[in-house]
Amino acid sequence: MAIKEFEGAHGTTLNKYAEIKKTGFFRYSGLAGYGIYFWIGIHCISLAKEWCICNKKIKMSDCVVIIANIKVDDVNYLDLETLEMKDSIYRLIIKLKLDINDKDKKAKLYDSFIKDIEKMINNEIHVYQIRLPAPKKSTYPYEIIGTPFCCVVRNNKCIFNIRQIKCLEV
Amino acid sequence: MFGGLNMNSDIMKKAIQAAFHNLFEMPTEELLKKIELEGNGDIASFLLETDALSTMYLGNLGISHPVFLSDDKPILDYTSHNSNYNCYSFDRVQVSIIPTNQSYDMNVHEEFKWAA
Repeated sequence: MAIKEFEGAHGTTLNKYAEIKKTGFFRYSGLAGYGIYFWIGIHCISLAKEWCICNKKIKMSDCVVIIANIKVDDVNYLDLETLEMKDSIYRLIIKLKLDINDKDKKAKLYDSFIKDIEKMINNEIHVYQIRLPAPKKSTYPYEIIGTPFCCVVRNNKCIFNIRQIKCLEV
Repeated sequence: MFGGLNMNSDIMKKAIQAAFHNLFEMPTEELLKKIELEGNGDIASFLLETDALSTMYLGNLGISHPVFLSDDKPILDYTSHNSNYNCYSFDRVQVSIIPTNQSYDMNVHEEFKWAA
């Protein structure tokens, strides 16, 4: 059984960081279903900072980037970035005549699909990888390398070595 | 190891193919219902998993008896004695403050932020 390892970054506030250290991360609904969203790759820290600036109406001095290591067994990992996956998800959206701007419906589609996969493999998906749009006004070079990768963690036990950097120091 | 294309195991690739095959075979109406039911369907399980809404946790915050609401109708009353998680979707949570018995609603996303 192979282990996949990632280093991910998650934008939040200092208070939330303290709570996360105490009780662990809490999953929430994102663009690709329920989970804890980490940017991965060499731009992950700046993406997390930009997400924080973009999504939170909070003082910059309260913003932090949480960095964590993510480890997952191969059997509990799903890559949603294959060509087959992208084509099939798109065909499903067309079949269902879903509004492509309806984030809630798209998130539900991912949740439902992942449940199907879990039934098929008789195992749980703890982590999946997907590319998502960078935060607004991001400096991420998507024109060159496409949209950034995200790791969506559905099981807190896959998250290790949690630490933080203040956004002002990034 | 960083992200890259086609990192799925062979077992996963077969499962993906089979899952999509089933989904495309399913009548559209049935598929829409399925997504509506199963989307966000793990809210209850991860509330349990994280114990975020446990009576003890709520008690520490001075809050009791959150009632999960959908379309303004209570569909789940969370108490320590009657935890019935047979519902799959709700979009608001009603909570009561112990000393005053005042209640107020918050949407689930706010609730998650509050519980996180």
